Amino acid sequence: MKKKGIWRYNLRKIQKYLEVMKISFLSSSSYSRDVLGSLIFLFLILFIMFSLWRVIFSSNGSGLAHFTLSKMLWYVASTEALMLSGSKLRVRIDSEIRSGNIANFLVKPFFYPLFLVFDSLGSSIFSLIIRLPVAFTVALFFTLRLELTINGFLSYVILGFLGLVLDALITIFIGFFAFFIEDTAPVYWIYNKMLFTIGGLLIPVDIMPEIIKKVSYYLPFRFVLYNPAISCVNFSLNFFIASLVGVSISILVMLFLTSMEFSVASRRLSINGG
Amino acid sequence: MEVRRKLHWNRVFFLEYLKINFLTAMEYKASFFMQVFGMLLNDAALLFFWWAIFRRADVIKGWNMQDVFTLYALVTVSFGLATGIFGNVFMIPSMIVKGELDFYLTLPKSPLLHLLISRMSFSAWGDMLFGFLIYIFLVGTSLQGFLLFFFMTVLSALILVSFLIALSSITFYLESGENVFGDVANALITFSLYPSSIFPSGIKIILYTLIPAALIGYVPVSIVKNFSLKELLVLIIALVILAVAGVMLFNRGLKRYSSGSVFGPKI
Amino acid sequence: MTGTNSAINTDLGIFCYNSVMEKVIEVRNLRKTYVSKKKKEGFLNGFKSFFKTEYFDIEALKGISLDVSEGESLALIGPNGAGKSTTIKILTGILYPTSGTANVLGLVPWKDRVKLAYQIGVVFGQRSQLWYHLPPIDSFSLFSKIYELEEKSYRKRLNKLVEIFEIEEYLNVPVRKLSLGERMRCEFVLSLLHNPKILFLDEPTIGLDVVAKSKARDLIKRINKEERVTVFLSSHDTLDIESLSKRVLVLNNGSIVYQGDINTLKHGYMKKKIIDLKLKELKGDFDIKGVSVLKRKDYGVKLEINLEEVTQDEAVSEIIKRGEILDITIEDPSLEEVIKAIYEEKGNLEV
Repeated sequence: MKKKGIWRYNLRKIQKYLEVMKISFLSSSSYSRDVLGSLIFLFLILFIMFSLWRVIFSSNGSGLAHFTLSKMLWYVASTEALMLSGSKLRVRIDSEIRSGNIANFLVKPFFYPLFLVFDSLGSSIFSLIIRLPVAFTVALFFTLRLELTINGFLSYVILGFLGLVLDALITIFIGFFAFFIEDTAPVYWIYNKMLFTIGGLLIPVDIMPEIIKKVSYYLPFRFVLYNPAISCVNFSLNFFIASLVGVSISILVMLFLTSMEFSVASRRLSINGG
Repeated sequence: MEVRRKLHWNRVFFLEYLKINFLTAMEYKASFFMQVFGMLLNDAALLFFWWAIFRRADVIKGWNMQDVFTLYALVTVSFGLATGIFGNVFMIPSMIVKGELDFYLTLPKSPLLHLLISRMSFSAWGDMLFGFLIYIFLVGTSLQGFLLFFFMTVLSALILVSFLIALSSITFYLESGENVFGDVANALITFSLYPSSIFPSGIKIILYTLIPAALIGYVPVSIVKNFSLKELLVLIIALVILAVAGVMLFNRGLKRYSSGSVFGPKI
Repeated sequence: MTGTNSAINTDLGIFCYNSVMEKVIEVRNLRKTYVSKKKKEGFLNGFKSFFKTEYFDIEALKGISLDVSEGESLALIGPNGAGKSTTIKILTGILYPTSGTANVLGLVPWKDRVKLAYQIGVVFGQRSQLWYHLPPIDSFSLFSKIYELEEKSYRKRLNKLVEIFEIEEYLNVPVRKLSLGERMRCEFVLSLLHNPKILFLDEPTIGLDVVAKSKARDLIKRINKEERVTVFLSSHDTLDIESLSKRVLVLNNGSIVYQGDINTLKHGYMKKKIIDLKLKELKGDFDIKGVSVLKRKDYGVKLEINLEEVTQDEAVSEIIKRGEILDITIEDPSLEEVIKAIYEEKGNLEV
């Protein structure tokens, strides 16, 4: 009897977070025009990358590492789909903290950072569901090859999801800086550019010089884009498991950091009175 | 006499806006520096991208890394010039839809010119400086070369502004004009940073016409690499066509301007 | 032409527009039709509308005609969506009409826009012409260059206006730090720097508190009288027009439903007063001549006094005998009520 009660209690606790995720997911559907705009952009960037890499591969017959032109484009398609589905919460968190609206959320019976994670995931998942098929279709259209295996795809979905969780946590972590600094935008831009470069958005880390590879290895950014994408086009069980471990550790670390930051911030708030 | 008077007042008008926009930028120094920082970040990230690419390829369709950096610098300066002087050039459709043209239409100046210079992005000047620095230090050039480079950036900026004015005018005719403008402008910015030579010929045609990224980036850089009178003429003719079309389309479109009332609750 | 009929210029203002008076605004059969897309909510409908678009017409102005004489102060009133803003926007050259003619100071607004702009001033209550981040003085300086004003005469003019509108202490305060009332006074100064012949005001007092509104009205009245600036004002606040204009045009659904003297409008169609009462306790009912109960609430009641049957004083003194009054508000009937009354009297009810 008691055991059942605990389960139900915990289920109810989780339910409110799942509810947030559901609402966020559903409300994302009202921005149809924005979706079209970003799909157009997705198509363009994939086209540009394809054109660029095609020229490079044709003059560089030996190929790059273990990549073919086709794999390269599927790689970019995989990273872009995730990048475009990234968390957009920073602006909202920033403005909610500055306006004081955050007080509304602090009095509610949930853990605010966790609430934000699920909120972010709701719209990210919706985003990915739309962008992923388009990205892969475009890649197929240009390369005329399916660089996708069942294992690859499944691992991509799992690692991609975890990558989005990590991205959400980092974004929230940055957003909470609004408690301490004037404007969080520059910090977010740095994160964004990290993803762009050592996160492997347009170029897989494998192809970069040794120093960059080392730096990228020890930072969490690659788990958001690079690892899921590589797992997709070049699946290997070892790599998949290593990535799982890596991203999970990163998530736990970020969760810890964000919670710490949040408790420091809310203590500050109650001292200053908002 | 009348011409001299008109010239005098137009010069005064322009200088006054230079002052006003400068004062506005100084009111928000933090925002100014932040924007410059953001642009520097962007520029650095893309330079990194090209550097990584060129470690794997010596030449891309006849262009080496210096050439791509030149493209990068030129486009950066060009966009900087455009928004540094005609700060509202990317905002025209939004202004049309929100009825913000009303202000300009009740005043005795050309609404197009007026709306363009009533905002000047001073952070764009920082971006411009960065572009010049890239060209001088990463590419390297002589005084002559630099002057040619500068002249090309001005030409590129003028083509960009003319094209955007013409493109903005669809907002007068199409309800989704604002979105179309956004998509095309984004495509223009994106494509202009890559050498047009890498694209198949069908796309290249588009890049010389509907989305003139080649006219803004590739061709000017090509002239800087190897001066060609023919290419220069192409650019000048394109500029004239776009400028005339732009002004004409905009003024025609004004007749259909509905000052935002249709989409708002009050008429 | 301007000085010929100064004898007619009495304290009540000019309200007769015979042919000897210079007409500064002349409008005949002005029509404005907008085309709008039918909007549907929702994701699927958003996609659907990409393929099939439905348009429908909005007739903002259905053929209006009016005249304004020099130095007059005319008000255009009507409910939201009546077409007031559209009228002003056409007369100032912002919009092109669908058909009809308009003549402002001898110029066609949408054709000779620039030429006309030198001679008119505009204040849009909903929109500011001042630079938000800078102090008003910078906007004034900018406008002096736009209107090509000589430095010395600009200075003189500015000083005079600063004095009249009492904005000396705000000249160097960034506009975003000013209250709405202070900002509005600066807007007026901005619009008058170049000595315009006509001042167009579109909802100039909107959002202002009672004191600020009253002050704004006094200032407009003063400018109209002292400088003989023609004032063309639009508002949906009946108090605005009462203090500012002698002649009023009532616009509804794109047509002029009443044109004439403000007092005639008041006494003719505003024969009722609405009384809002908050009572502690009710002693008896409101069975008073000329008084009817509109609504009963828990501790209050809304009454209507018919001024044709009883005077306001009589009615009120009877009403307050009825209970311990905590609060009492006396209001004019709403503009919608007035318009309804106009229609009813005219015998045609428009849907």
